[in-house]
Amino acid sequence: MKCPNCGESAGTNDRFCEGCGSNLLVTRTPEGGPLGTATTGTCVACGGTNLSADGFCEDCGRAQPGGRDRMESDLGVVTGISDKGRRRARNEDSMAFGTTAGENPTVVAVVCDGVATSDRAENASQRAVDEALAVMLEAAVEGKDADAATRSAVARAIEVVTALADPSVPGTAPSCTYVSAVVTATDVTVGWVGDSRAYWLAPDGARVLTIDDTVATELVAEGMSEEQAMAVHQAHALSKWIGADAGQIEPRTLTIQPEGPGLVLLCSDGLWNYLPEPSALVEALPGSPVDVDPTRAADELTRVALELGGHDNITTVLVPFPPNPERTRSEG
Amino acid sequence: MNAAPDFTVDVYQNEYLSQGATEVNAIVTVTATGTPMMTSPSETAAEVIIVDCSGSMHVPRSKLLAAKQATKAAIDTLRDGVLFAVVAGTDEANVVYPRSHDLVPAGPRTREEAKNAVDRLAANGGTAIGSWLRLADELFGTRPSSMRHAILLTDGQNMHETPRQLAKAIEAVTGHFVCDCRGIGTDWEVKELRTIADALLGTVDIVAEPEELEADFRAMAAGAMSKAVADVSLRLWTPQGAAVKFVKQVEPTLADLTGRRTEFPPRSGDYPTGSWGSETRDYHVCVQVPAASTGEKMLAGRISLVLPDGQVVGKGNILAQWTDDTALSTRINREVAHYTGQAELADAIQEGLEARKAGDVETATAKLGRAVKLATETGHTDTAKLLSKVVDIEDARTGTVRLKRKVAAVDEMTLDTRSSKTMRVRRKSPES
Repeated sequence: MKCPNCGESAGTNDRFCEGCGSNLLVTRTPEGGPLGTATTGTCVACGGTNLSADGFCEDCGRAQPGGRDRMESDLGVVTGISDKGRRRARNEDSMAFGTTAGENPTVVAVVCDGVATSDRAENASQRAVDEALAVMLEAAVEGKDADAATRSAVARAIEVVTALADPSVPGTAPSCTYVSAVVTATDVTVGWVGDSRAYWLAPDGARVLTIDDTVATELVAEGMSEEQAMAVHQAHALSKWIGADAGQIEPRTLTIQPEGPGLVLLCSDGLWNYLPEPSALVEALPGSPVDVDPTRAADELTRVALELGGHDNITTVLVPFPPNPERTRSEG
Repeated sequence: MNAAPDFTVDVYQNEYLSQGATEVNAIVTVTATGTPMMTSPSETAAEVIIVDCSGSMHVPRSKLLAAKQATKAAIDTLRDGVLFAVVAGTDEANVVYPRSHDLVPAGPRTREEAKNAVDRLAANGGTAIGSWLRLADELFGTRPSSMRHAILLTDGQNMHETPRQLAKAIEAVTGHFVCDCRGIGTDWEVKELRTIADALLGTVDIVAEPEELEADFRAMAAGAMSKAVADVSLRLWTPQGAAVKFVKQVEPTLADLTGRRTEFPPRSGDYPTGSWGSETRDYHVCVQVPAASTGEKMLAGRISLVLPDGQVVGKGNILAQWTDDTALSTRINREVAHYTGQAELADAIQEGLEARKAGDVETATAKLGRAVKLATETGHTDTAKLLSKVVDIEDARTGTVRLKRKVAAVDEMTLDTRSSKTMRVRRKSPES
């Protein structure tokens, strides 16, 4: 066997590569998110190649998307795009995902949406996805139960985000939402806190897997009509979130066993606000959910959300089901 | 130059634009720091003092006496080794000191000789300022020096050459030296001296009382001695499709540099700023950029400074970001507002006085009334006081005024010359 990172040969029982120190049992997105600018060397506006070190085009002046503004990652079995959108000054969403090695991998993905009214929201979301992912990948390597792993991951996320709070500044504790998926050849286990969503996208039976933790959905659950609930002041306000000021919370979880192939979508409200209906999402895909290229699909969904206004940060993570370790990641 | 000061650039602006907006305004603060005087070799500084010796300098007699006193005080202020000369200006220009057509290094002996020569000055003849500037330029040209400064004193209008001759002379010497101009008495033309001072990146002021001249000359010479680097340019990069609406120095004095641009291809232009010591100046930059869609962000301008050896120092970014959040786009940047108000005040005063001179009572009343209102609103108490000598103020808040029937020439000229002096905006820490 060879290290997927540096190519150094490794023993079958090795857990870490002797050459570069990377984990041989899992592959994951880099911790802390992307560093520096994510430019491809040509200006996003005029196509010029004269880009300055501080992220502007030296010809037309356009600011190039940098660092967190547009994050793209593709591990083959899972792919994602997180975009700043058109209205927000920063991207406070974060995503992290990874997979165990081998013929029969477990794929884990996490999306957190930093609560914009809180302090250092992007910090909170990045810490939460990184730590939660690590917990679930570790559990997957050790063959532990996905539902229990999801609950442990949320507990860990609460711990690290709570630690970010500055007790001297009340009311602005860093906070975020949470949605994760653990995908194996048979099961899809999702867990969530807040209003980031998981969808099952398939030709038949496409549906929302999560129930938003918002004021409106709680009122509906208590018997109010959806129309009435949506008219309530702050209907979209979160009733649950992750943060020092969130109190004692437990995530909700759900495990499904799909009967055929499809796509698991994790997204922030920057996407689903424009395309809330599962059927609308399926329709927006550049192909059938059964065999569409997930990278192209994530790109297309992001583009649609941007075109419809891009009012919020847009994060889209897609995991084809069942996981196919043969699919190699696309370049760029 | 190894003794060049450090330059830092800070940009103050509201970068948020509403959809479709294209005008970007920013105040750029340039600060030079360092202790140049002690380290720069004094041989590189040169000073020419130009004294009006036209016949009118005798009327009253105290004018010529004061000019001599002031010139001697300025000579005493020159550091050892600074190259200098004294020019007497009439309808022609003559070197008073040294005897040769040259500059000499300041020292105990040369200072003494120069002061004796100044004592012997007599007033006789006309006024041809263009020829004075040309002679100063020739003298500066006799020796290599990097920091060239002139003081020009006059009491009268440029009677003995045509405006065209003066304009050609100014054009010929522009960029060769910095010149501070002073008018003594009330027979000189504010506009004429302002044109010279603006072109030669110097200041203009009125010296109403001859006895004030000495302190003023000493201060100008000391100011020139404190400079560490000459011929510094402000470089402004703008993106493709953008147009520079204006570049103005707004502090310590107002000076429009827009027309002084030298192209630096492909997308930059250099604006002359003259000599710098340890000091801070503010510039108002206004750039028109092509509109982009909401959410887009662009670099609307980039400011740096260019030293005489071509070294580029300091950097400040002027940004534009389009938003549909009106809370952001309508936010008024206090620095921009402050200096926009100052420029408007100066314009109102200068246009009002111009109209008054032309006998256009209506325009003069409206402009000067506006000036009173602006000066009151912005707390320019000195300017308000000067205005009250030219107009009777009925209501300062609304700017209701009446032109005074009789105005002392000195009051009008003081108001005019001081209109381009500005007040620094009170600062908080720079916004990001």
